[in-house]
Amino acid sequence: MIRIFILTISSWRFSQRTQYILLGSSIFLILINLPFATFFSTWVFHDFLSYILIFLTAYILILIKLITNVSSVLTFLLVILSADLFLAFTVDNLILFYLLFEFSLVPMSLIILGWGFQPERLRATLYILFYTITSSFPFLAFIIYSGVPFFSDFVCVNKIRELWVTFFVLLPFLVKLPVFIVHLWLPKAHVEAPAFGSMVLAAILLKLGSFGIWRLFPLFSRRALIVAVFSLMGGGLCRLLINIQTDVKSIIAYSSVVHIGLISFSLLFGNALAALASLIIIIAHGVCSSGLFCLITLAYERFTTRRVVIAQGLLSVTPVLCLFFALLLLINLRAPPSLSLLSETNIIYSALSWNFLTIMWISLLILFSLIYSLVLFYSYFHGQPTPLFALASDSKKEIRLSFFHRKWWLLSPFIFYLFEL
Amino acid sequence: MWVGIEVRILALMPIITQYKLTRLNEAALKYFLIQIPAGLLFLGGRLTMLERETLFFLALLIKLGAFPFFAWMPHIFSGISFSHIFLLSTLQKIPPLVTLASFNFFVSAVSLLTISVGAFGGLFLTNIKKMLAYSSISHTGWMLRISAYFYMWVSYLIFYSFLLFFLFKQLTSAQIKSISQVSTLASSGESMRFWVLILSLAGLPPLLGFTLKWISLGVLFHLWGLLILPVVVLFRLSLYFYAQIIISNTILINSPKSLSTLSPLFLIFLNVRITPLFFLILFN
Repeated sequence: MIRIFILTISSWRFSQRTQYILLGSSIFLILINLPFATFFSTWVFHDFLSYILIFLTAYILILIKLITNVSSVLTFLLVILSADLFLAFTVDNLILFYLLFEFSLVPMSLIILGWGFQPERLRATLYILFYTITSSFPFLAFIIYSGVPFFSDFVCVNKIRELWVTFFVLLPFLVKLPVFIVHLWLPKAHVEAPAFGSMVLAAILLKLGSFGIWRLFPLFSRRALIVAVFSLMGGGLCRLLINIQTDVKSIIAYSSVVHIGLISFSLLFGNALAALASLIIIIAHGVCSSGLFCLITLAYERFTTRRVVIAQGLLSVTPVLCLFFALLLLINLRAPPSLSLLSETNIIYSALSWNFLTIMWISLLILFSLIYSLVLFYSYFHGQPTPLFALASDSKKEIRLSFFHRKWWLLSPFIFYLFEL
Repeated sequence: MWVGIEVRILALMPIITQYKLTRLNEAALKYFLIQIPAGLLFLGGRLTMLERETLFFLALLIKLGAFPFFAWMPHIFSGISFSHIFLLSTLQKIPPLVTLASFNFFVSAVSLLTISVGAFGGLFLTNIKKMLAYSSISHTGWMLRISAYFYMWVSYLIFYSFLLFFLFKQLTSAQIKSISQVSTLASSGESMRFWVLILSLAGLPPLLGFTLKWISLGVLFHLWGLLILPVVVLFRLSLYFYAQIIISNTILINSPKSLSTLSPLFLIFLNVRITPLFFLILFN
């Protein structure tokens, strides 16, 4: 994992000073991790999900280097953020995890404040700060109160009896995921954030929530299933909400809320099949939604607007962008060779085998995802080309980016094979 | 004990009045007029032995600026300079708090009310000194609650003093009086430093200010258990007025350029803020 991280960092081309500091930070990471791994092995707690997420972090950092001109301060923010996530995904101490979980908020809000465009970004930052901090305070209280400092101790701890304590422990992760009802900060943050900001947000930061639920799952009482079913229903309702959005970025954000509903359902369902599916859907959603945000931004650079009504007819100018956008939408729609199909069929299978009435919400979810994808694709790429956008054909940057986002998709059989073992 | 408490006031008076400014003198007079009757009340309670504890308690609450008697603090704070605010909100609180540590009755209720007054009082203000006064009131409430636990309270006070010291150094060097002036920082790397400091004062988890919350939460849960949860979540809303300061700071940063030309030093600064936390974890 450390090697992957260093490879990622070294693949960026930086100025001299930045390189030194990057090197320093990666050495710092090794120094922190190695002694813990060898001498104090209780400090580090790895599992498959943390490997996946660290790899995803590294991958997204490379893509960010492709999409933007990374200045030195931005580099610092991203390196701090990635070091923070790297530690958060590997640390065993509960209170350290809480601190690192919260610290990811600081670079993210700085990115939105400093690199966003509209004045509404202030409101968006307030939303992020308030939702996350207010919800995570009870979790801190629980950590202090319960005196269970390590994740690896959870095997021998009794489950939480009271439902409301379970709910309080779940709350910060439900907000971070975010599931329906506490999702309001997500579309705002996505709309206001720059391209790399929403890529990081969608691909990695939201995964902190699912990672937390995955780690804390042994604690939850069986009745946390109520929350699971509720998030599935919320996913269905969000599908309806998508159709009244006009901003493309908020459409994608709502569609990721739907996927997240599925993620939290499968994480809390407590069945082996669903847990496996949740692992896969975390990867699938991370790559797919960040790719969609990235392509939306590339289109935005041409249109200078994200309204579905105004932006039209991109197909005649950039066929390659259109191709990759269509492929990503198909992956988002769980088209056959994608990871989404694998995971969501497993989730749907386990949901239906538990209670057939969930067919109501699942069918809603599937039907409306098809509708909104078609509407988005037609309105964006077909129709009369507006004179608003610059008439340059596919740039090299666009092609390269689109390709790398889709490349993950080729790996799907291998990962499937891995799980079959 | 009474003499000790009064001497601290007499020591503060020349410090405040040394600049011969009308506003400073006015504030010093106000401070004097409030503190001396409280001291007399304290002494009277001591001498008459009549309902001693109640009189003591009220006198000390006046001196602290805790819940029923908090109204003098914003007025005086808006008149004096930042170094005086620093003295008033840290050093001058030690004697009353030490004395209050021996009382048990009403402390919970008074501290809760003080914290809530501090949290909601500063919501729609524009004068940064008044906001800091309400912030100080809220921190006084926390310190009042944990004053029975000596080590907790002393570490709280030390961390709080560090935080306030750096913040006031920043504010004094930039000559800031109202939150609209905070945006004058926006062109330099100082804005980021200011940003981190304010967030730290608000108690955002990884920063130094979070240790304060951590310490006091530990005591609170030791005392009351999980019943305190909804109340504590409400208090987090005081983040809003800190966030207002931050936002007025960044509202003029329109181009990404002003952020990208910052020196990366602020991150080292930020790391310095975080470090004590890891020490705390290690020693726990």
